[in-house]
Amino acid sequence: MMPSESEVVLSVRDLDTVISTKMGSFSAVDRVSFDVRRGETLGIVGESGSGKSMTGLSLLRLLPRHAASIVGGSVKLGETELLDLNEPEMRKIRGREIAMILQDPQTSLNPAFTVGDQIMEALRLHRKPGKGGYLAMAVEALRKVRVAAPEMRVSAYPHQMSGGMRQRVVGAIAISCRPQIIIADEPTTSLDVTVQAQYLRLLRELQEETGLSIIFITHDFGIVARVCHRLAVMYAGQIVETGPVRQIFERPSHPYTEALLASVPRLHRQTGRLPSITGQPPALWNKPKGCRFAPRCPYADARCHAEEPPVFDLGGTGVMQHSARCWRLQP
Amino acid sequence: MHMSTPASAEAPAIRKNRARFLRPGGYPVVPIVILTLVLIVPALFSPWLAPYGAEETDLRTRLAPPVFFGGSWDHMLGTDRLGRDVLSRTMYGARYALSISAVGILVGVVIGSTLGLIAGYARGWFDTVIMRLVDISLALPAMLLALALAALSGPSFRSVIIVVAFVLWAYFARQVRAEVLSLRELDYVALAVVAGSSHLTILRRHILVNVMNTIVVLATLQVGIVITLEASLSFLGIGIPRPTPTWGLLVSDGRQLLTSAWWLSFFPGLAILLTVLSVNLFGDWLRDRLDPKQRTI
Repeated sequence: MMPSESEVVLSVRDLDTVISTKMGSFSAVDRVSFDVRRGETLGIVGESGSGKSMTGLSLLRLLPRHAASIVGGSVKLGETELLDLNEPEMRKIRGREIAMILQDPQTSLNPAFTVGDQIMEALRLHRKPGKGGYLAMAVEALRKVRVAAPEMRVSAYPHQMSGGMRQRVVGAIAISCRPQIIIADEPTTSLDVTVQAQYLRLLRELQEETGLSIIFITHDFGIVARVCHRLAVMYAGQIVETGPVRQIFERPSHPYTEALLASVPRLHRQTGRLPSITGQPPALWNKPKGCRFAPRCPYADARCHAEEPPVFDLGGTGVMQHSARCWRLQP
Repeated sequence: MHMSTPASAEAPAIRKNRARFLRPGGYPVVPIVILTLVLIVPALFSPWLAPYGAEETDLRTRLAPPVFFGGSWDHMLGTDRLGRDVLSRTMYGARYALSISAVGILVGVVIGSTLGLIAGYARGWFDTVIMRLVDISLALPAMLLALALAALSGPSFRSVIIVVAFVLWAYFARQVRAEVLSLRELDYVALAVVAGSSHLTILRRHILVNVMNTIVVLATLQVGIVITLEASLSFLGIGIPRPTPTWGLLVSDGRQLLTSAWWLSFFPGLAILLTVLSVNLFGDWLRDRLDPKQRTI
């Protein structure tokens, strides 16, 4: 399950993304740091508005132009600093090095073109034609995502396919240019459960075949357990806990992670009401002075309300490193 | 709610019958036949097909009624005050109806759609400026502009085209912009950006292609408006000048004699009616046809 210590493909350090509105500017992604290694799946988990999607968009530098901007930090793809590239250079990174899969397969494909056309569009941008031209490459991409009869499907229109099949096509477009990293922003939320399981298996198989790294943005712990190697839990723009999935599931160290895991329904153990986290996540413009989770935290004391906790290392190195942002962990 | 069940069950059946009558075999045969006979063939071939010239007068047979109303086969649809053949003049009129609507709509569509496309995609100050211009254009009565133009350059084919384009562009700009606004938020546009496509590619492949449907259908529906507009311009004497036999002029000239020689206005009016109706029916069919969801492998 766990990939061996392999090279770091993407390294994010102290990434700061600010949203500016009429009421002022607020940081939506606050000093976020993480590494993604080759062949690894990093899950980013958090509730709505925790900044997980903004993190994904920041990596590709696709923030809405006037509303949000990256103000600091570093995003390194191999040796390249992405934040220093200009727009044409960035365009070469997008699709070729980092691809994306979005939530809704209904709107992820252009209804006016055949799926083959749309796969070829991405190929033409980034790759030279192989033997048999782009069409053969498109058929090959469809075969890779386990679409049955790809020679026929390549000339089908999106509306002639089911949701799961379309999401496979979106996957085919994403992998067709052999990117190093795919950012998957809740790719299975609009699929039903059986199709969801098939899709997750497909992603894992693709990863084993190609050594692809995946950043999996989700709010579903069931999916995290199934596909992710490592996990980063986000709360109010910060990563509050990061570590290997199994370790976090067995021994959650941040109270927020603990509360999230406790509120996941379990088939065998659960009786009565599910525990829930009281209160609301803080508004971006009204963050608490100390720990951001303090107002909802059952363990919070005076220091938690007054001072923001630093990140404490909980042992382990490389892929096994586990750390969390909570005063209780102070040695 | 359950009261409406019988009616709503009946409605699709009626619609289906109507559809079958207008589109045997799935094609709009009736509208196409009417359009060909009333508009296209006369517009292209009237010098050879029309029994008389458009301005050929025969004062001996002034105000002859149509053939089944006491007239003769010499002038099937009757003659006007100067003995000009109504059938011939109506046939020649098709030429102006076709050229004015084709050129006027083309100019209006190209200008309006381009501006709407850029405004919706780029947003910002360009969008604001264009949309305020649209508001101004829609608030300004077309007739006022036509009067001003006629006063400046005299009534002519070109000034009619300018008025038509001026009236139409705003509708297209507004409609296209609205569609672009919703299209640009769709995931496939976002994914095209993620894939590294340029703005021009995205505009052409992902946005224009998907508003084309709307543009084409909207354009066919304007034919009726343009023919009516041309008729009203001619009626006011600021359209194409007499004695050019445009349909609008023919209707307006016959108006004074409506009680005694109804055929002067009736036949050109019928031509307008049939053309507008057929074009609209054809546009309906085109709208269904262009929907990508109707395509098969």
